[in-house]
Formats: sequence, structure tokens, C-alpha cells
Amino acid sequence: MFAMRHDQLHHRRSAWRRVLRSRWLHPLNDVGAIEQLLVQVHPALAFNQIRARVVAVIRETGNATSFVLRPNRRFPLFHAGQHLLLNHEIDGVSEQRCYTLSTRPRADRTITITVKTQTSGRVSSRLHDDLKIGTTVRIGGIAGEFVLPDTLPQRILLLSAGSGITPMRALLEELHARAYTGDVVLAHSCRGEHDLIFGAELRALAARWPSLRLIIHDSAQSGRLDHAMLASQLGDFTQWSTWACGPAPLLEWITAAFRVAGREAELHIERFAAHLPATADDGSADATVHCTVSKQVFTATANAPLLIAAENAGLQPKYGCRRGICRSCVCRKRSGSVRNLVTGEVSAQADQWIQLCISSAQSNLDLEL
Amino acid sequence: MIAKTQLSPSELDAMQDELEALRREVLATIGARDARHIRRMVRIARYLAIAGRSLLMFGFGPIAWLSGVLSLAAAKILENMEVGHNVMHGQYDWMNDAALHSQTYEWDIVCDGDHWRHSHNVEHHNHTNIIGRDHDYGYGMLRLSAQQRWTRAALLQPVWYAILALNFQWGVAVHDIKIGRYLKGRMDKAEFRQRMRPFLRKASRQLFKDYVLFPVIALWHAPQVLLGNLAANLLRNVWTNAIIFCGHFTGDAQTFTKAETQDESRGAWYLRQLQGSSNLEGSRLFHIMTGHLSHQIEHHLFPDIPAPRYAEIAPRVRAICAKYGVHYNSGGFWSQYASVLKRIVVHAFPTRPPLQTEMALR
Repeated sequence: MFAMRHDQLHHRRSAWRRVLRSRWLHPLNDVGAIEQLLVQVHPALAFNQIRARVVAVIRETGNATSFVLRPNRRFPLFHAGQHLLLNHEIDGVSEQRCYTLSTRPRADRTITITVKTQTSGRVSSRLHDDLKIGTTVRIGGIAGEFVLPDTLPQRILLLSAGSGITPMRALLEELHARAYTGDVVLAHSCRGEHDLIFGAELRALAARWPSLRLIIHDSAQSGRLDHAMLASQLGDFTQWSTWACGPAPLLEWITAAFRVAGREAELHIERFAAHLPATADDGSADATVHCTVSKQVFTATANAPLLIAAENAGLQPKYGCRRGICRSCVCRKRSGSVRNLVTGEVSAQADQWIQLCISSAQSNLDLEL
Repeated sequence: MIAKTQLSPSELDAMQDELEALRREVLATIGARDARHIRRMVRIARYLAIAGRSLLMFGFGPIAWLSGVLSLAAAKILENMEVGHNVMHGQYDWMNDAALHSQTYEWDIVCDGDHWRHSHNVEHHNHTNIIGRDHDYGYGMLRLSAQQRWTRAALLQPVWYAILALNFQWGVAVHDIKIGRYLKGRMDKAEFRQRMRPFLRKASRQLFKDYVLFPVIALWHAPQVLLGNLAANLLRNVWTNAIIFCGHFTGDAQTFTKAETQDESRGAWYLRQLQGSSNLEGSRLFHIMTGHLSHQIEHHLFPDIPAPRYAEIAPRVRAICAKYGVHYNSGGFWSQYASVLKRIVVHAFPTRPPLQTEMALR
């Protein structure tokens, strides 16, 4: 009875919403335009976009900075371990990048992202210059599956390297808040003490929370953290439910270990960069790509993303995160076969949507571009 | 009428290299300044539209009405020409802003965006001023060159032209439907219907907005809003028509035959753009209100460079023209427009092509 009434209400509401959004009322209901005019008056007047104001900037290490943001009401609920899509304009170009939320949801509704300056990261390095206290940023949304289950396993291993520690701090906060009593190990690899993000805070947490054990690996002294080193500390670590985040080589050996043990279901992985092979290794021939809209033709190699090949040819397809998350660059493939560079999946059927930034040509293609 | 410049293949290659070097040079400097410009134009167009529609809706007396009309007309001109036309050319695609992307932008005019992207970007910019290929040449209504076939209907073309100028947005809107082809039986009914659909959808939305929605919400001010919207649309039509006709139909703008342009090289394409287009001189405000189509020559060479850059590269393009002996067709608005009107009158009568081109036709 109640459910039915709720249904009807929902139906009426969505019908009303459809009327309000009707193209016939344009430009009176041009939300984007109205919002842009209001934001021009004051950034806090945004009512549709997710926006956030920088309220604190914390220098974590020599090259990592945390930005504490206070988002507006449009900011959705999130879980520890998820990331947000941050929009930032650089030289007139709107860029979108993913940044892990490095805290669990807070009572004061502030959120924190921790950004490491990478030599290759155009956006990350600019954030350090551009974001000051009081700056407003636009947020594209929340995403990510790198979260804890409702029922927590008895033994949890958090494995990270470098800036991979950012989601781990959020997960640890979450475990602590849920009064987790099982065993949790944070095995983290970084280049010495000066490179350890959240070091003091994590040590303090371990001191007052007996469940937590820290294994900090100094890769500058003892080389990259590998399978054998982790096994020497934990024994058969595949018996632990594991959350891993870090550079591709680390994720490769941990994935292999869990595959061998037949416990892939217990391994959760977060990648910071789509793992893209840089050079052609199989010597396969270049593919010819026909764009059905712009009538342009370009060549693409089997190992490079189509987005890059298209840009090199002078086309300017829409794009967002450039690593297969935001789907801004989705494009209809009329024919031909492409491989997803992240998952390895092959799409060979006609008329499928593909993400240009993480798809490579396996044959000649017709794209609606 | 001045003579057409012919260049040897090696001269064409050299000129092409110079033009493309110029293009690369400009593209390398594109950035925040251009983004600021287009966002500012979008904003000003919106302020003008809000001001215009408010004045028409709430204003009393002829002065308020007239200001409302002028403001709304300016808004439509700015949105159509400086924003819509240029965005739809992909001049701002590099900004990666979904609201300013060439493939999705929809403008405040009865012409459907996709139709425009095809008839303008694909056909007109490729086949500029080739008689029989460039459907923008005379818009299928006017005889502007002796190379076009004369019919008795051409005698009345000053009248046709006046009608077209007043209703220019409709001329642009039905352009890509290719009604003529359907009437001659060269298009089947199914295809014609399919081509009509986007036009009808867009046109009905535009008519609804200007002649139903805004008058209705103005309550008893409905008549002044309706008439004001009509006047603003007419002003926009006449202005855009005058500017656009000055782009390719001035006295010294050359036309080309299909035979002449067969197997045309990239360099020859540049030469055709230079000789088939003409510029207007004026203030910065004038250039903006023409959507920088006053720099038609630079626009046709590089349709996807942000338009305000055309003014900056114009002296360089003019210098390249001088170097290769190509006439750079530029003048004030009134003299250029007068030469367009003269063409319309002269070719209403059965003129003959000059001997040289007649030879080329054979």
C-alpha cells in the first residue's frame, strides 16, 4: 500500500520534471546558462554543479599536498576508498582528473584529496600552483569500487606504494571508525621517510589501535617491494583479503600471486593510470581509421589509444579523464575491432560504444567521429 | 572585374607552405585568452537577450520597445555569428568544454545544427565559389555570375533578393534539405521526409519560443513582445545576410568552374579561398558583430582557428598575397555591399561570361 503510493508520487514527480526539462521551455529552463550567470555573481550560487571551496592546504611531504575542500550540497554521499573527478582549467582547456578521497566521510562534510606532483602530470603539478584557500573547484562526480564490504573479513592487507597510500588512509579511518577487531596490515613502500605521506598520523593510529600493524618498506634502500619481501613479513599473504593500490609492476605481481592461489575474489585493485604499453611489441601493422562524421582518415597503432592517434592526426575528440573512467570520449564504432587497453577485452561487433582513450585498433575501423 | 591569378604548381606549393606555417604559428599560441573571449561573448549575448526580452515584456512606450528590439537583435546576432557559427566550426573544440563543442552546439536560429554542419562546413567550405558545387553561391535563387544559367525568373531577382534578406534564417534553414532536388524528381519522398524532419523540429521550437512562449508569459504585453521578437528576428536576418553576401559575392570575388577545380591541389584550394572570399574593414566591435566574417579570407583559409585571431593574422595573409601577386579583396562595408547589389542587378539580365572562361568551360 505504502509502496504503491510512493510509486505514484515518484511517477508524478518525474512527469513534472520532464515538463520542466522540456526543450519547448528553452531558454527559460536552460539550467547551465542560468547557473553560469549566477556563478558570475558569486561562486556559492551554483545550484546544479558540484563545486567545492578550498578551506585548507596541507603540505604532506616535499612533493605531496592535501587539499581540504568544503563541497556544496550537490556533493553526493561517498564511501572510503572512492575517488572524485576534479575539473580544472589549464590554459583554456578543461581537464578532468581522478583524485582519491584520502579521508572517510567526515561529520563536518569536508573532503580531502592528496595530490602528488608528478613530472608528467600536467594537471597535478598545476593544482599545487592554482589551488589556494578560497579557490572554488568544480567536481565531476564520485566513482570507484575500491571500498570495504559491509561484512568485514577477519584479516585485511592494505598494500600500497607511493601515492597509492591515499585511499589506504581513508580505508584505515573507516576500519577504525567501524571498530574493526580483526587483523589489519598496511604494507607500504616509499622512497624513505621524507617520501612517506601521512607517516606521523599512521604511526599514532597504530600506537592506539592494536589491530593495526604497519610495514613501511624503504624502496630507496632495499629496492622495490616484491613478492618475496612481503612473504617474509606475512607468510602466505594470499590468505589475507587484500586491497592494493600503486604502480603497475606492484599490481602485476600481487595479481599473479592471487591468481596462482585461486583467490582472485579476495583481491581488490585500484589503478592510478591505465597501464598502457608505450611501444609496439608485436610488430602488428598500423590500422586505418575512417571517421564517418568528419570524413577524416588517420592511422593508429595496435598499442596506442585511439584518442592519442586521433589527436596526433589533428582531430579534437571530446575527452575527460583520459584513463577510461569518465566516458566523455565515448564514440560509436561502426565496424572493426578494438581492444580495451585496461581490461584487454576485445570489441569486435559492429555498432558498439567504445572509449577512445583506452581503446586501441585491432583492425581497420569506422568511427562516428 | 580584375583577372584571376594563376600560379604554377611550385608557386602553389610554396604559398601553401607559408600559409600552413602561419597556421601552425597561431595554433601554438592558442589558450586562456581565446577561452576567455568566447566565454565572454556567450555571457554578453545572454545579458543582451535577458535585457532585450525584459524590456519587451515589462517596458512601456516606444523607446523601451525599440531598445528591447535592438538588444534582442544584438543578442541573436552575437549568438549566431560570433558564438554559434564559430563554435560549430570547431574553433573551440580544444577547450574540451561540452557546451562549446562543435558536434553538439545548437544555436538560436531556425536552422538545425546538423544541417548547418553539413551544408556549411562540409559543402560550402570545400567547394567555395565553384558554380554548381557550392550551393551557397546564389542560394539556388540568385544569378550572381555570368557562368550561371539565365532564366526569365532572374529578371525579378532584386525582388527575390529582398525577400531572401528579410527571411534569411529560413533560407539558411531549408538549404540542406535540397528542396530543389526533390521538386525536380531527383530525390525520393522518403529521403525528402527524412531531411525535412530536423528542420521542422527545430523551426517549430524556435517559432514556439519567439511567438508563443514569451508572448504568453508577458500576459497583456503579448502583442508588443510578439512584434518585438519579429522585429529582432528581421533585423538579425537583414544584418547577417548583408555580411554573409559580402563574403563571396563582392564585385572582385572570383567564381570557379567544376572543370577548373578538378584534381585541385591543396595549394590551389588555398588560392581559390583567397580569390573567392572578400573582407570588410571596420572597428573591433564591427568585427565581433559580424562574427569575424569580416575576415572572410582568413576564415576560409583556416576555418577552425578562433575567430578573433583572424584580425591578428590578416596583415600576414595580405603580405603573402602581395608576394604571390594575388588580389586581397578588402574594403569598407558600404562599398563592398554596393558591389554585391550591383552583381544582383547586372546578372538579372542575360550576361555572357568573358571569353577566357568560356574557353575554359569547353
